[in-house]
Amino acid sequence: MVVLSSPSSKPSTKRIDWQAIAREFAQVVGKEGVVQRKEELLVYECDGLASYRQRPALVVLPRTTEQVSALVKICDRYAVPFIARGAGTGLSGGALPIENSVLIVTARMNQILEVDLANQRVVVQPGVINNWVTQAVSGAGFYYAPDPSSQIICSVGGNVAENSGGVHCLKYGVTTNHVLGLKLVLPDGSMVDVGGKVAEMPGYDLTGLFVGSEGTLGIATEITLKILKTSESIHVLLADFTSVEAAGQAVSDVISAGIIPGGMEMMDNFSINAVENVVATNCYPRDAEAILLIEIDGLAVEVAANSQRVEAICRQNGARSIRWPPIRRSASPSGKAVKPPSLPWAKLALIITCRMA
Amino acid sequence: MGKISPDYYVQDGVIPRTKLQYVLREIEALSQKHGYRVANVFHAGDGNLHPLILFDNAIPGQLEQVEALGGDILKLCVAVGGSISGEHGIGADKRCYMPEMFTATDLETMVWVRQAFDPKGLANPEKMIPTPRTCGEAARAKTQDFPGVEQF
Ligand SMILES: Cc1cc2nc3c(=O)[nH]c(=O)nc-3n(C[C@H](O)[C@H](O)[C@H](O)COP(=O)(O)OP(=O)(O)OC[C@H]3O[C@@H](n4cnc5c(N)ncnc54)[C@H](O)[C@@H]3O)c2cc1C
Repeated sequence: MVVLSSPSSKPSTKRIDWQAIAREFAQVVGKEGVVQRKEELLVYECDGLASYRQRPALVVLPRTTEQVSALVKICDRYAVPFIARGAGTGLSGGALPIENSVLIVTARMNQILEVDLANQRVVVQPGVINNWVTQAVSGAGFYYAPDPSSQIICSVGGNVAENSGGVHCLKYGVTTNHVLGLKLVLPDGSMVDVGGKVAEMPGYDLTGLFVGSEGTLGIATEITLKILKTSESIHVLLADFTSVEAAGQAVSDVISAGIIPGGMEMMDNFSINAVENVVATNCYPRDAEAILLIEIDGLAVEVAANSQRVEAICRQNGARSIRWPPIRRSASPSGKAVKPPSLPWAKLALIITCRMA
Repeated sequence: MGKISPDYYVQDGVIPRTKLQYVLREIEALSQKHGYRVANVFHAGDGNLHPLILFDNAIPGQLEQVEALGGDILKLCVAVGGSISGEHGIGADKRCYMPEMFTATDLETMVWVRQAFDPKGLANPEKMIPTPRTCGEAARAKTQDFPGVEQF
């Protein structure tokens, strides 16, 4: 059997001159870009996986690719590990510091650098919040498809590193399907561009390799994203079932019928009751074993036809009731009403659907 | 979930859509075995499960038990041909489950790629790929010779 050893992970015993490193960092980003007081470092000791905590030795807040490169070169020279951090909403401890590490936080790299509607692409810095991308282009009828439930706070850099998904990824694909190119700072501090502004690039798909690499291959400092045209029409169907099997079968039948809904979310009886207990919407039957929320989007004619077919499939599988909550299209180009019920905010979105019904 | 239980632990796994009914029954059985309620919500269309395990972090030992239940759910996902992460990533949390899904050769290949980019191992070390230091025995990938053997 092979015992795998990762490149680093030797507990470092040597003494590290953190004062000297902090001084060098300050030369790159200014004093206000370096966090070294214990109380201030506390904010960074965990991400969304809050049961694990480790205080970083230093936190540094760059604004540009060149600054990230200079900072990483300093880390390389002192042989100290560095960890990229976006908004710190990750749920697997990706941005959790390790002992004697530097956290390179992208919060100040928050500029949308280029919006090219004609070619349907946007270039952003990694600290841009997911939702801002859609906000920047929705007026012109576009949106950025990958929509994690945390989209109002998580960064595009974090999305890239985690290859994040969301409700609409069923039809439109996860983050990797929407990243055209990246500017990267490699772990030795060198800068490199991978991918480009068009989808078809020869050679190794280094963009694909980097997406989902969880900060282990370097730091993304500029990200070229693909944006999509907002669907002409969106319908949401809410169906309730007396068995999870029936709801599960309805899901399979919809897909086998060749219909790919914009989103298709399920909640079981316990989750339904949890929502009702907390907010008493009185719109989910407490005795339903499962509910399905199905979003159908596309051209108006297509949506009308598919809605009927999906409704028929749900009924064939024994759906007790089917409702079509209205959607405020202007409020949400990507059909916010069916955000996944998996987490608190999303749960609220689900309730909004209900209230509107 | 606040009124029901003070804390919840979100798990994230993927299963083939057709295994949904079976997996939900098994999750219920695991929930009873471990003694914690599990609320199931999922991106049903792509088989991405988010079981929410309810517990009370103020009671010592509950977090560890809930993590064990979460781990059993991940192993179940792998057993039906699924994956240990739909969208939340591996990070520090799930690195020790990587050998459930990948062979020693698979993991070694990932280490090669990582070393090509980062020979000194400075970029987010200890994440994603299991090492003896972070996972002990679990870093030894499961071999084909002992398919059913528990590694950790
Ligand atoms: C309430 C809630 C709901 C969520 N819902 C979803 C969901 O529906 N779908 C989903 O996929 N996830 C979800 N998540 C998880 C999380 O929001 C995503 O993983 C998100 O992409 C993380 O972004 P972040 O900016 O917070 O990254 P962080 O947590 O800061 O970092 C995550 C990882 O990315 C690396 N990283 C960050 N920036 C860079 C960069 N510029 N270059 C290289 N590596 C980098 C870090 O090192 C770390 O490994 C949810 C989280 C919460 C708290």
